[in-house]
Amino acid sequence: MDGFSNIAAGLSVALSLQGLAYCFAGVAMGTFVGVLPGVGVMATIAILMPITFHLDPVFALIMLAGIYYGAAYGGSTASILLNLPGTANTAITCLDGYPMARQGRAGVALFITAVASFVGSILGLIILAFASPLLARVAMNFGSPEYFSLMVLGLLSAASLASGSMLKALGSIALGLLLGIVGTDVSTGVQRFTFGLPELYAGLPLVAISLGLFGLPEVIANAGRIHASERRVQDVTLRSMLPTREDVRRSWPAMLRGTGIGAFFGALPGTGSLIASFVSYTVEKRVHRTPSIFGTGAIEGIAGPEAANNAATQTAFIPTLTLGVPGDAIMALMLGALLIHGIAPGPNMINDRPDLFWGLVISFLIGNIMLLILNIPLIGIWVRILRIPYGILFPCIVVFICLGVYSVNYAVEDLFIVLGFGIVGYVMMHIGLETAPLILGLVLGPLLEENFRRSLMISRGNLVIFLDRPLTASFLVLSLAVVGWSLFRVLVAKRALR
Amino acid sequence: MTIRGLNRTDLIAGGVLALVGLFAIAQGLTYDIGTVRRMGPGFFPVVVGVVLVLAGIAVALIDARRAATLQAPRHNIRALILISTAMAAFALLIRPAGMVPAVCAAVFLASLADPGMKPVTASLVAVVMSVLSVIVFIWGLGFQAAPFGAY
Repeated sequence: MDGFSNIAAGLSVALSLQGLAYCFAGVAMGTFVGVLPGVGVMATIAILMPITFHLDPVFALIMLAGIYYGAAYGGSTASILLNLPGTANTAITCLDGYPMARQGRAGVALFITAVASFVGSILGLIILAFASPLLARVAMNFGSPEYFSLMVLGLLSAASLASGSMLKALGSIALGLLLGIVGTDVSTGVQRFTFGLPELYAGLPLVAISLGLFGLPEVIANAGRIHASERRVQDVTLRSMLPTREDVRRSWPAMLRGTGIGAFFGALPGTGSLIASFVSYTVEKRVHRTPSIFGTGAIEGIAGPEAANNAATQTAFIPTLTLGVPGDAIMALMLGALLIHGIAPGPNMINDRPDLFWGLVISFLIGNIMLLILNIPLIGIWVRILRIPYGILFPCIVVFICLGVYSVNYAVEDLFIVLGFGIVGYVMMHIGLETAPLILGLVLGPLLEENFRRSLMISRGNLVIFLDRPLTASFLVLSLAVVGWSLFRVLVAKRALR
Repeated sequence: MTIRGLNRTDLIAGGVLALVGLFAIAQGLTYDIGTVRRMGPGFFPVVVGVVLVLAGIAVALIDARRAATLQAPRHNIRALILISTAMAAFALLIRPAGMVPAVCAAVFLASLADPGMKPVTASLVAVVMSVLSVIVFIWGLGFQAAPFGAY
């Protein structure tokens, strides 16, 4: 492996004018949607996916990834100033960030979250850069049975760690698997669930489904409900952002602990930044000498979770890029974007496409530096953006959805497909079925089936192939443990209610 | 809302999952199941269908007995109807009438989903948005549509 030439290839991609431009576009857009409550990361990535079809896949991923980690920075702004999380992952920052703002320390809180985000991201990125090639080398020996059992583990842990009911998340995943079957069967050429419609032979379009399931229901749910005029946003001056020596002394260890927690949960399949930030908050509270200060503006309570949240967004790329197995729905969308371009991430990608892997890593580094500038000296702009009335914003989002969908094939039918999935998404939201696990199932479904069938072809129909390989067996045992544990939790909770 | 102590939304969710599962099994059985050694195209759909039915039953039996864990979002029927209409209007207008009428109609209809929106503001946003769309998408990005009229 020629490390230097690989990194040079990455540098030339990330530092090219286009590379820098798409990186900036991504992180700026990410901060924008992160700051605004009611506009989610999933929806934004789905809305922008059609645009990236016309781009080089590297730049497409640079931009989509920028939205993802940019939003992780921006989300804390609304948490601190309005007690309203800009993204779900920064909900925990409200607990101590908002009290700090009410004590007139909003500036310090914003400064510390930006620094914690940067520290978490950069350390997470270093782990990404060093762990990925190592993991890829291990994964070189993975065969179909390993991939199959790894995907089972990923899907089941995503279901059992879902924010709502594990059973419903499992149902959503299965719905996604079913939608993934639609189209021509790769092994036999048989048309499945196409009902004679030639439009369905190539499968259901990921963009239409994700836009329908995330973009529309979110806009519908929030339209007329969020009123910016009622918000009172205080101005933040640069001078007010300066932390005291005491603040810095208390934040540092929390940031480092948060980074460790975040990096760990981000890389695991099925867990992500949301869980990482909650665990980090709990840990900070436990290790603190006076836990009672948490919830009243403890700086550790924002520094730890913010570092965790951002470290997790970086390490989440490890399984996606090295194994081709996404850990959560956002990573599934990224993987989908790559697959649409004909790139299948896997252990060979780091060597075959060093420009892509190292280009991304270096671009993440540049993006994080851009974010530090966007979130400290330029914070005033984002605070002002919080005053944009949602009533003006959401009709524009509807138009962006229409333009994006239509631009893919210039087919009017696509708009109605999105509308149909939008209504499905609205109904799912109201009967308590989460849509994020569905996307995970949809993207992983075809891979899961292919690896399962291939495994059994290798073993001549002997199911023991999943048990006599040490790695495969341990993935499956872990899956069982995850399911068993959450079933136990469900049953115990049920008994406690009686 | 509950029916004989069972949570109604969970019953509906379980029912929907089970029904979709039954459909998947029925449709999957029309394809070749194959053998274990060489699985046919019908095998996976049937397995997924069985998982869906089991998940549906479990949701109806276990989740429905618990107090609602997630607070169900409030219905927003007004927004559902108006935003759907806005998208449909865009779809029907973009080819025969062009970008400006399609965007104006979509923005205006979608704006009405917010009861507090004044028609003047909505019209203003519609005009600004359609002009921007023409400049950015048609002239800038080569979006295939005419500003006015059929493309």
